[in-house]
Order: sequence, then C-alpha cells, then structure tokens
Amino acid sequence: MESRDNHHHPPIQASQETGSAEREGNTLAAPISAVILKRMRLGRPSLLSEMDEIQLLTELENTEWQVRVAVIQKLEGYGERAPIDRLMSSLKDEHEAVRAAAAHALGVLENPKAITPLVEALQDPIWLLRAAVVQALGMLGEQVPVEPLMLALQDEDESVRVVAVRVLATMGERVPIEPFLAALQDSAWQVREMALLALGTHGWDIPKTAFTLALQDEDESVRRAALFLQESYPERFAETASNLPVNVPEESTQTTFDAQIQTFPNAASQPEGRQERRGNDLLHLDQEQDLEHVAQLRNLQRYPRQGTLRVLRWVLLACWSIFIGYLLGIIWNLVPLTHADPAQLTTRVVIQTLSAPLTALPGINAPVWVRGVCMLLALLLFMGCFWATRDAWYEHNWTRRREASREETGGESRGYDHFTRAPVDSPRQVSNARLHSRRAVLVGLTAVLIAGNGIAWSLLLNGKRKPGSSRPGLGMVLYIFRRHTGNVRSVAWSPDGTRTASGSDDRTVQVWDVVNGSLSFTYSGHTSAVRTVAWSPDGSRIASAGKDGIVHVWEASTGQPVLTYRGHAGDLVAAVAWSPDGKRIVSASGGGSQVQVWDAINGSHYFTYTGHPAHGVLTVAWSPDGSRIASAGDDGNVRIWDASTGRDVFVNLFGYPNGFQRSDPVNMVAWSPDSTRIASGSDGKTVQVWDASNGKQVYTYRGHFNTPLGFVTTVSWSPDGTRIASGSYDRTVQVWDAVSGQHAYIYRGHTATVTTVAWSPEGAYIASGSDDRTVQVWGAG
Amino acid sequence: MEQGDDELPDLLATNLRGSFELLVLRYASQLHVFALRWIGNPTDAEDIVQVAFERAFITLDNYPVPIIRALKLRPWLYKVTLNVSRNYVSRSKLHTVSLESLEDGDLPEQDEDWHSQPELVVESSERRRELEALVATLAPSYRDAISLCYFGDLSYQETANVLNKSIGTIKFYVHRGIELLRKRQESQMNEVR
Repeated sequence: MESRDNHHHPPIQASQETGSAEREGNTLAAPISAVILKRMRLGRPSLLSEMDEIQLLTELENTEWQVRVAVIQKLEGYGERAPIDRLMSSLKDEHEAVRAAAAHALGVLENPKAITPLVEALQDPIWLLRAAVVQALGMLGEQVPVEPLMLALQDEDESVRVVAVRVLATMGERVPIEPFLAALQDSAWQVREMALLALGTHGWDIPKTAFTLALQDEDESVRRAALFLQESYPERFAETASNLPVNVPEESTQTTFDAQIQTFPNAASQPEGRQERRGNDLLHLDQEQDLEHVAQLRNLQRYPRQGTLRVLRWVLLACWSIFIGYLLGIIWNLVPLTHADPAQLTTRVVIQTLSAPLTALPGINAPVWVRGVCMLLALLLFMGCFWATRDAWYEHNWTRRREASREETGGESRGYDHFTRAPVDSPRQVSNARLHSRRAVLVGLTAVLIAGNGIAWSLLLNGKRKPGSSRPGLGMVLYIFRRHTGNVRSVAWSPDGTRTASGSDDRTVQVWDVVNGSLSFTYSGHTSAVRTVAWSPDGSRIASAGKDGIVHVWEASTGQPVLTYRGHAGDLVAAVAWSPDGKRIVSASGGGSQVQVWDAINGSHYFTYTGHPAHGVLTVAWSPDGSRIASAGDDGNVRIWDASTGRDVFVNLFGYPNGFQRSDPVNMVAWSPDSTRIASGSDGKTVQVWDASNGKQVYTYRGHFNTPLGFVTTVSWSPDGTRIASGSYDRTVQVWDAVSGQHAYIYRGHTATVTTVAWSPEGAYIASGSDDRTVQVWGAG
Repeated sequence: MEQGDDELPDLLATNLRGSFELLVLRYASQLHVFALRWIGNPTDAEDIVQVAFERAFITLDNYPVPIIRALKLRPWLYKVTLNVSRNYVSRSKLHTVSLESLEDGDLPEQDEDWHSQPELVVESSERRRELEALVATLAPSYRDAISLCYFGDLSYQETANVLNKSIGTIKFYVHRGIELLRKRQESQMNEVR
C-alpha cells in the first residue's frame, strides 16, 4: 500500500486586496514561482509554534488572514480536543483562504456536527472553496448525505466536479450509477478522466459502452486512464479491449504501470462482494433501460460535434441554402411566367416549373452513365443534407436538455470571476449570450446564403430560359400570354426567334417580346377576326388576314401598315404564306376556293390557283425551296402545285378515310425543312406524312386518334426536321419523331382546342395558341 | 526533459504537499510565459498560472498514485494551463495581446534567484522577447503549437496530446507558423531599413 499525504490543505489563493498588494509589491520584483508559492500559501513559516490553545483561539480574531489560516491549521492537529464550533464559525470568515482552511480542518477532524455547515458552504461562490468542502465531506465518510455531493457533480467548475466524482465513487451503493455515467461524458476532460479512474479503482464496473467510448475519447489523458484500468484490472476490462478498436497513440500503449496499482487506496478496503454486486446490478439492468443508457452515452459521445463531422455538417447545411435558393429562384421565375397574374399559377405550371431541371435532363448531351452518376451524387447530397439537418436538430435538443438539466440541478447562480474577484454574470448567462450571438450570426449567414443562392439561381434559370441560351426542358413553360380576349387562331415566330405574333378572334394581332415576356404592341388594323399571321422571311413585315377578307401587310417593328391586299373580295382568308425569298405571298380563301399569289411589295396579283373547286381552302404552305406550294382544305385533298405557274405537280387524293370520296377536311399542311416531305393534319384525327416528290404516304401518326375530339388542327415541323408538333381539338400538343412517327411528348397546357402550333426558328421552343385565348411558349427539349 | 523530472512525480505521489513547491519552482516561469503569450497581460497571466497550479494540486490530490507516477508533468501542466487560459479568455473576452507590454519588458525582472532559474535568463533575452511578441500575433492554432513545441520544449506527440490534435496537424501548424513568423520578421526588418 502506497503511503499518501492525505491530510494536507489545498492550496489557498490570495485575497483580492492582498493579491493586489502582492502584485504591486512583489510581482515585478520576485520570480513568478515565488509569487505563486506565496499566494498559494505554500512554504509558509510556522508562526504559532510557541502559542498555547487559548492564545491560538484569540489569534482567530487576528486581522491578518494569514494568521487566521495558520491558527486553523494548528488547531487541526489537536484532534478531538479541537474547538469544532470555532472552526465551524470560521467557515463564514470573510476571507476564502480562512474558509478553505476551516473546511479542510473539519474534514480531517471527522466530526459529524460539521456536516450541515459544510453542506451549506457548498454554495460558496469561490470554486476552490467548494472543491475543499467536497473534499472535506469525502473525509467524513458514511455520515455525509449523498445528494449535496451529487449536486456538486453538476457544479459549473470542473475541479469541483473532479473532487465530487472521486468522493462519490468511495460512497458505494448509496450512489446510483447514472451520475457517474454522466460524468464519464462530461465536457471537461479532467472530469471524464477522474470519473473513469475513480469508478475503476473503487470497484465499480463500468458499462462496456462507456468504457469503449473512454478508450476512444478525444482526450489523451482519458484514453490513458482507460488503458491504466485495462492494465490494472484486466479481468474486468480485458474483454472490451480485445473486441474494440482503440484509437490511442502508440506511445500510450507502451505505458506500463506499476504493479502497485492493484493496491490503490480504497480499492482494497471496499466491502467484500462489492464489485460483484455492482457488476450484477449492471448485468441485471432492465434491457430497455440499458439500451437507453447506451443511446444516451452515444449521444453524449456524439455531441457536441467536433472536427471533420462538424465541418461536414455545416457544409451540408450550407448546401440546403443552395436547394432552398434554387426553389426561391424558381418561384421567382414564376412571376414573369404569369405576368403577376396569380390566376395562372396553376398546380400544373408550378409542378412543371419545379421539375424543370429533371425534364431538362434528356436534353443534356452526356452519356447515360454520366447522368446516372450525377443523379446518384445529387441523391447522396440530398440525403446528406437531411442527415445534417437531423443531426443539427438532435444536437440542439441535446444541448437544450442538458442546459435544462443543469438548471434543475445546478441551484443558484454562482457568478463570480475568479480573476477579478468580482461578481459577474454567471458563466451560463455569458455562455447563453455568446450562444445567442453565435446563433444570430449563423442565422444571418444562412439567410444571406439562401438569398444569394436564390438570386443566383433566379438569374441562372432566367438566363437559361432565354431564347438563344441552352435548350430548356421539354414542356418547360416559358411564358403564358393572356392578353387576347378572343380565341387565338394563329401564331408565328419572327425569324430571329425573339418575338411572336399571334392573331385572334378579338381582331388584333399581338406582338410579344419572348426575351422578357412583354407585349411589344398590338396591331388593330383588322375589322374582324384574324385567322392567320405570317412573318416575312427577313423579319421586317407581318402579313395577317381574317374574316374581313383583306390581307394586311405591316411593319413588324412598329405595326405601321405597309399595304393591304383585297383580292379575295371579302371572303374569309384562312391562310397566308410568304415565299422564302420574301417577294411573294400566297393567300387562301377559306370561304371560297381560290388561292392567290401576289406581290409582297406592291400587292399586285400574279395568278390564282383554283385546284380546290367549290371548297374552302384552309391551309397553304410554301415549300422551303420556294418552288412549290401545298394547299388543302375542306375537300380533304392536299394539292402540290408549282409556285410560279400554278400548275399541279400532283394531287394527293388518298390516305384519308374517305379516299377518293369526300375526305375529312385537312386543316393544316407543313413542309419539312428540306422540302422532301409534307405533313398534313385533318379532321380524321391523324397526321399524314407524305413524300413531297411523289405523293406517297410515308406513315400516319395516330396520337390524337383515340380521343373523341382528336381532330388535328395544326401541324408544325421542327427546324431540323426531326420532329413534328401537332395540335388538336383534344387540347393537347403532341410532339413526335418525324422519321419514325413515334410519340415523344404530350403538352397539356391548354384548356381548349389547340388551334395553332409554331416551332421557334432555333427549335428550342414551341408556341401554341388555343381557344382558351392564351399563347403558351414552352420548351421543345 | 529537465533534470529531476524523473523523481518529481514520485515525490508528488508520496508527499504532495511537501513536493508541490518543487513543482511550482520548476514550472511556474515557463507556464507564466506560456500564459502571457495567450493573454498578453502579465498580471492576468500570473492569475492564470496560480489557478492552473491550484487545479493541478486538486487533481493530483485525487489521482491514483500510479497515475501520478506515470504522469509527464510538463505537458500535463501545459495542458492544465491551456485549459485555464481558454476558460479565462472565454469568460473575460479579453483575447487581446499587447505587443507593447511584451516588448516593454513586463516579464518578471531578474532577482537574486535568477541563477537558480535559467529559463528566466532565456526569457530576458531581447531576441527571444521579440520572437515571442511575433508568436503572440499568430493565429491561436499556430501560436499554441509553436509555443509548446519551441518555447515549451514539448515533443510533437506531447503537443498533439495537449492540444488534442493529430501529430500531423501539429507538424503542419508548426511548419506553417514558422513560415509566417519568418515572413513577418522579414517585413519588420524591411520596415526598419
């Protein structure tokens, strides 16, 4: 057994006033070690060796605190003869050094009368005093109540907690295990280390989880303590050591402890069977309770997060701001989309907009596996963000619970600055203030991050949606124009793709700026419904016509009329088309049977095509090579004729259900960009694709066929010739492969018959008009 | 390791009260300089060292004997002092370092005992003081690593244990800190010229 000096005083600090005097008088002149020794009352001379007991008691009233301390230390040696009452009254001395000396003396004397005043002294504002009192109570043994010491285990000062855990460990079965488990996870490494040592050396069995956590503690001293226990008590801790990885520096594992550790004080003096009982207690813990303990310990080990995980969590939380910013950016983009008209914020539009990036994926020119990996990474990132949020929330709860627990058990505030010896806000308040400050900063930073990301995403997405930028997702709505008060009948893109013109039954043609979604101007020269609009190939003029039978040609930039063509004698003009060179215009009479070709500059008539006798001509299209014109109408026939002479090249009389008889009316014909094929949509609910050289049918698209109102009203060929968009009475626009006729996408944005579809010149967007009085511009993928 | 370090833990283990004075005599100055580098105020540094020794005393008083015997006193005391310094800074929010106070020589003056405490001789050298003043301007991580490795004469492993960092991190801190010191010293010299 190692002999220990268990009966010495704890070092005593200097008083406020004396400390100052010492600073002034000694600090600058004496080495620091001498100053410290003097202030700690170490190495002091014996002042009172010659005094008798009566003189000593008189000296307890001495004005010098050093003398009073010396007297108490002298009285401590008197044993049972020591004046306990005088020592107890010294516990209320004005100087902390005297109070500490009295506490120690009372502990050494082991008089039960001192317990109550010592317990009261636990409320002392000086941490050193509280530590001395706990130490003294520990010397009083079994008579001391456990509760005050357990409260000391919650003390704000780590040294007090260190002493408390050591003292409590000696009190055996009177103390439950829970406070020790909490001490094993104390924020101060000294407490964790002492809890481990005290429990291990006083015969307590430490739960495996707690011991494992200690072996992996972030602090080297705690890990060393755990190793010490393993080497000292291999029968109790060896299993844990062999089963679990231990993160201990190599140096630690080389440490060997003296064999005398087996005889550490109090270890041998424990009542027989104590270790076994404790062990059994732990073994017989209710399983649920045990699991709860383990969970609690894991949480305590996990929080507060340190190191890499903490950084990772903040990074992932920052990623949230990107996601949220993205959502904000998209929502912000809904504003121009709807022109600040909340009625347009339909669920469909919102969902489509939110899922725009996903719909854009098919347009990304990357191998499938790259896209797959990107999606996987994005998914992982998203899950990581959830983890970070959950983790931050758990830590927040953990902190709150811990603070609440401290509030319940910590008693009154002991705000006292050890260094200035002046009352201050309690550390917890200071800590809270700092916490609030930090929280404010974090909230501010997060708000800035989210706002910044929102703006960035908004700009990015907005930029991406502009014509000319990268291709938007198929079906991603760019704008919905709702200024028409009548059914929209025709839409045409400007050749540069920046504007659209839409004609409507409301007798107007509206020119829209697609770049910013604003209405450029409205052409109101028509006296009745406008049925058709065509932009000149050079983009400078627009030809429009309608029920008034007059074709208006006007400036596309200002709306100023250039000329009017009245050759149709008041019959409804259902279709107009410019020649590719922009010099001629062909216009079809929907009310009559004439198709007229005339000069686009001066309006002079060239010739009239009369291949559709007695039937209205609903559609006319100039071939891109300028040599031919296709026309069709109520008779169900598609006629291809020479654009210069008007002579038929061939007449397509087959393909529609009624064959040579009265066929379903053909509402629209469209040339492929290379002039080799023609697509025609009819009331037969199909779109026929013909070979333009010989009139042979290539295939029939039946995407609209199975709907009751599948009459095809409009067809548009994509500029690259690979796809065709067709609109129908069934309110949909269907996009399909022009080569194979395979269906690709159905746009369901309209609430009434789709009357017109136009592909933008660069092929990125489709503009569709409808009887729902809207023009919708959306991504073509 | 200083002479007598081997015996001191044994002495502390058997007679804490009697030998604690030796501990104070041996390490107070080093710890004071270390704390001064943290706080920048000699009086506060003095308080910190006192509290560190008080806490060390209490802890040693409750340690098992074998633990005290196996204790590496110097790194352990630095660790305790570092804890106290950190608590002090977080409490008082006075984490400011006055270069003037360092340069003006507020460190303890030599007295008749200085022969027995050679570290004071080192502390008093002008060059070392300038260097310390520069170290005090470094970021806390670099400052602590350099203070412990160079001025505290701890090994990388010991420094890593005190600061709860990996040894690689400590090496990085020291390396980077020295680089920064060199740059600052050069810039100071250029200013003087």
